Amino acid sequence: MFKKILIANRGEIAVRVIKACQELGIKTTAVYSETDKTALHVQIADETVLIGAPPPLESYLNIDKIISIAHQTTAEAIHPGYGFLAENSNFAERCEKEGIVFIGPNSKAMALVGDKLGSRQTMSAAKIPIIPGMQQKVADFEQLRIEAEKIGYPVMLKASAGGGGKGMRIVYSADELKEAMEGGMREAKSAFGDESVYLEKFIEQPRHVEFQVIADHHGNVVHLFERECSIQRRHQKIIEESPSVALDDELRLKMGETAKRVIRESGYTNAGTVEFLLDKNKDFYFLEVNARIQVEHPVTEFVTGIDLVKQQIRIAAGELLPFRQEDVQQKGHAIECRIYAEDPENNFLPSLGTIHFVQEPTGPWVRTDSGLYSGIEVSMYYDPILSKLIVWGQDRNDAIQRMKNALENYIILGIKTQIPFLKAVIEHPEFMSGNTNTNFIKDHFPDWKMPEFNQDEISKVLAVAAIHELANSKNELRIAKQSHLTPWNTIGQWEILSV
Amino acid sequence: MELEFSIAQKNYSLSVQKKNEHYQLKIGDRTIELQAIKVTPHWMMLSDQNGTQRICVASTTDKIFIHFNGHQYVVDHPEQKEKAAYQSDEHLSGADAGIYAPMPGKILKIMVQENQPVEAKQNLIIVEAMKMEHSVRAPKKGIVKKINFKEGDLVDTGQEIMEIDFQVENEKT
Repeated sequence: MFKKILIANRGEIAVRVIKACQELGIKTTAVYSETDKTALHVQIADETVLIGAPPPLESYLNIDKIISIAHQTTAEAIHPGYGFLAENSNFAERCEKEGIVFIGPNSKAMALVGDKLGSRQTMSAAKIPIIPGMQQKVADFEQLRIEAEKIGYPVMLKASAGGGGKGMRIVYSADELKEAMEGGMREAKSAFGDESVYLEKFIEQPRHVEFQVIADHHGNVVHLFERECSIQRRHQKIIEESPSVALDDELRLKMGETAKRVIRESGYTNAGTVEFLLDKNKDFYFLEVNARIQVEHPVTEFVTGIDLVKQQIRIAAGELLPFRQEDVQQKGHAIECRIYAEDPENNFLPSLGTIHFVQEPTGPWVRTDSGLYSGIEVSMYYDPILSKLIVWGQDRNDAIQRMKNALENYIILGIKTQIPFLKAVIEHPEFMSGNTNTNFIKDHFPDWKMPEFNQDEISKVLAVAAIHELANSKNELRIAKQSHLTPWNTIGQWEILSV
Repeated sequence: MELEFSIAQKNYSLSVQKKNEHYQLKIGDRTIELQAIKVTPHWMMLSDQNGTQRICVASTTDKIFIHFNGHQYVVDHPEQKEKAAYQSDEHLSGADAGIYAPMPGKILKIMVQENQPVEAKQNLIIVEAMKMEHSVRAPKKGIVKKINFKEGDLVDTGQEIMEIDFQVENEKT
């Protein structure tokens, strides 16, 4: 097993990986940008090294710097988390050349699945169902326009190096194409450093169903069942769950076996996710492989009882998978809500600033994966995800009730979050009945507004504000009085002496 | 003690009287009696005839943040309110109107030039924060008078990015 791992990431996922390392008795090196000097992942790591200025290209995407820090701190492996360098096959290849273990797939498999178009070709050849559309990327408008005509509107524009909704645009007609392409290319360039895009037929009202797969270096491939991630805003998943109400045992078996075939066809190892779209007729199409630990991995951890991050590390160290397909079970129901620094009352624009106080919900089967603490400054340079709230229940309804309660008790004071919106979605009758598709938010929450506060609530809030003010001015008086009497202020400079 | 607060741009005047843990508050013509116990600097227990609630509070010099019934309420202090009123007066004067940054971020692209006529909903600028792009569009027809920033500049919420003269175009049409 490794003695030390470098975590090339920040935020909640860096914290999650460091905790897994701690449990495995592995030392950690955290890297950080200038704005993250006191970030939680930096606070809890064994060693910390500054990489550079806040913009990702100068810090968390700086391959040379990260590799040299790994050598300098004698880290034998790098965990990339998700985002940043997680799906950059050049980085994985560089690690291989430098004799550092990249905790993820080998660079060849990553290049294959990361090339969304190449993997479309491979899967199509292997008779795995894919969405109709382009098999080559372009950066030229005229070519794109011709392809769009061929496929037929509406089409989905995607970044060929993409993921997480960055660079993605639905295009309904030819006159929207140019703006979509320019915006998509700029976003793709800034997020992945590669601006090329391609088009697929846009499948209307599908469910997003993905399979978690895990493969060791000894030819064993096991799937850990599905997650449904249909609840999305601007192509960003916000609520994920397992199991999906749309699958019966037969379809689950079929999709799970297909997912494993995708992983085998790509020569893929470590943890990966095979994404499918499931249409209204329950036909499914291969979308892409996410060659990383996913944001929503805790949902799978809850229903299977398997720690995916620890498994990733063990597989990277060459260990055998400790379970076979028939050993894994999907038990109960898990739901995850992503907490974003977005203002639901102001068109979900980023809400930045200081979080003055945070208290995360706790309780049986309530988990928060978070990098937050009271006093943290939320920076504009990175993804707006603050944390993830995950609950488990005996069944879906039990999990929904637990999530509702947990959301109500998730306290973040100082900046806006979309927690009130998440609560509204969780409580929506169509969500409760499992009637979901990727258009859910557009269809049911086209112009969501926070519920108006009633007079009673306002009065109480004002009362609390007044009492707080009063107590604060009192406290100041008391502290002032005390400080006059305390000896520490009068003895001058002092130090602790060793005995 | 007399206090001035505002919530969601609505102003409230309060008077508070305190006896031990008991408070009497007058808000407009309403009078409320409460018992409040401060448990820690951030937590208080609030009781009235309907029962007890646990409430979380945090504050800065100009704002009080309150978590109550699963919601975050932001209460503004009076000094802040005066400043806001002063600023909004400025913004409303004349036929010129500023285009303000909707959030802190980087100006990625400026799609218009000074003296250029613009249509309603025309894209003016693209601001990037947290890796997502947000476009700012013209609220109505007008002429761009002045652009205060260039591409690549960082802006803060509420900073005036450009001025647009709406009057000129309206008079012509």
